[in-house]
Amino acid sequence: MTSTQSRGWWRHNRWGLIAVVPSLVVAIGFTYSTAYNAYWKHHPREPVAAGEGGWVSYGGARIRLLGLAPAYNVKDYGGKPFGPPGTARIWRATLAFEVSDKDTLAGCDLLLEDTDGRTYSAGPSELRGARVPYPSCTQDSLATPSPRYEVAVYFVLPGTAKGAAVRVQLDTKLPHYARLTAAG
Amino acid sequence: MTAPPPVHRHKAPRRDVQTAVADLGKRLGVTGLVLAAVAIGGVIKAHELDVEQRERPFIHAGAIGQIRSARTFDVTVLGVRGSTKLKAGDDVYDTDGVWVLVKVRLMANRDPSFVGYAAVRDTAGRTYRASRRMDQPLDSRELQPGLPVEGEVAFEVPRTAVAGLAVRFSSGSYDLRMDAMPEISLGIDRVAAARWLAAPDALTLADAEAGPT
Amino acid sequence: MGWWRGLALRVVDAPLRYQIIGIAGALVAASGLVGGLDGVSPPPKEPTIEVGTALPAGPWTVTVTGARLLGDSPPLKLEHPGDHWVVVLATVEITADKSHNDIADIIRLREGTLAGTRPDHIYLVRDTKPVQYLHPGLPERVAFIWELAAGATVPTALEVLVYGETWRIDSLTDRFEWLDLEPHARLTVPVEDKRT
Repeated sequence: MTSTQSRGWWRHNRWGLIAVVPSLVVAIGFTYSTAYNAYWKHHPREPVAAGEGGWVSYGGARIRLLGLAPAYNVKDYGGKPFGPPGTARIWRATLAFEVSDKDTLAGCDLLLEDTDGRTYSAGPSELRGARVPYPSCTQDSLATPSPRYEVAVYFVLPGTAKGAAVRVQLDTKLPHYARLTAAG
Repeated sequence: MTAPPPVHRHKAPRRDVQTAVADLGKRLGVTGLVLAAVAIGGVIKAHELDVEQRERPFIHAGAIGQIRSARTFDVTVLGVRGSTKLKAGDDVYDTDGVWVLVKVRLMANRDPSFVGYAAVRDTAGRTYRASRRMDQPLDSRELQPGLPVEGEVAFEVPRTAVAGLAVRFSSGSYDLRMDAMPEISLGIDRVAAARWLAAPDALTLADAEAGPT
Repeated sequence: MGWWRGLALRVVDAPLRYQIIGIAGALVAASGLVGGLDGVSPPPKEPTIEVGTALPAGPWTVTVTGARLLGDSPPLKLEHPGDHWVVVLATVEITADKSHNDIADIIRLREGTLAGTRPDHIYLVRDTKPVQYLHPGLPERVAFIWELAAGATVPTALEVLVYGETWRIDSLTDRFEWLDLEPHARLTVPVEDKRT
């Protein structure tokens, strides 16, 4: 093909060539957004780590992990010691919150991450019968309302597992979640 | 300088034999390529999996006592029993078919997980989802990694479908495409099926409890 | 506007075949704007059947067996005291190869204030508990239940539509699915007044 012929071909097909660009954007963009929404956006993928002083800013609140350790003094509603099933252990996390509105973190999910990266729900069925508070990121409704409060959350882990971090996540903030490490 | 020869004829010169053969060869070549493309397309089309096959779940077949993965959780069938009456909570449920109670051990793999789908499949390929006539203890149970949970799942199936049943599980509820799905043969023969039909007593659906850690 | 002239010239110069295809395409597109591509709704094609006739209607076979008018009937709870329950009784057998939980789609009333509405409840007659799933090969007596306002005309007979579906490939997913929920039969069911 000579250069004159080549120029003719570009000119001849210019509208088609121009149309290719938006078509590609639509085709790839649509697939990308579907994939992004299905596999990334609605899952906890992007941890927000602690900044200065161990505080994590997340969902309009500031959160800090005060303590994370096995709990050996859990009682049942009759006041007797409550034991988890088999060789499993109960873990207790204490979190400090600073919020502008009491409902800032309402409906949050709390998970404990172990050293292998496995996660466990707060207040699982394995704690049925134990006298532990319902897992929540909001202040106890009976307490005097305050923008600063602490919450204790209980988990059950296999005996060999070791708690490493607490995750706080809000559906509306996914794929971001707050990742609070022990002794941070 | 000599002048060019004057033009006497306006017809194109006759092609020589060599050019004609080359032309014919070229045309035959193109025709051959087109036919080959169509044929290859036909073969691909004929051997292509349909959507149903292409997007089928990844079946992990097993037998009673074997651990099989449903991706987010593992399943072990511990046993199976049956009757025509089932007691769950305070109520006794009768059936024109048979109640099949499958005892399982379930354990989440990496993250907390729920059982989204439990069904038995008969030898004719029909599937029967876990009964919703009563609250099933494992239905709403959140599984934790490393903490096995044991319990029974109740299925209601026609009398003729009992022998040869296999149980299937999935973490998804409706979209079961291309996901891991254990299919565990329950080993029920005709003798066992007949015994369950004749059993007069109601079986009590076992609650969910922690398994050995 | 040189490009516009260029385009026009190219259209005029195009082979007749392309011009005809172009015009035909434009005509189809234009007729689509005014509904030219819509199907024409045929007259009601569902046959009339008798009470007690088993009707195969896609994933299920339905036999409407009767209708009742009830007053307060626990465990059902009337939303407004003084209302009545209108009940259509039918035996439903799943003939598809999977359990179905779209049982509420099967029965609709044709006339009155409840025409076309979903039943407020569907109960298994066997144990008076709500139905969620019915399973293949296990026919069950099902009560389709609507709450009828106290002031509404009390029917002596109900005009009932039995809905069914067709097993066909879904053009969106390319998979076989039960689709096209539509009336497969109509029938008149005498109502037994059991309010006393």
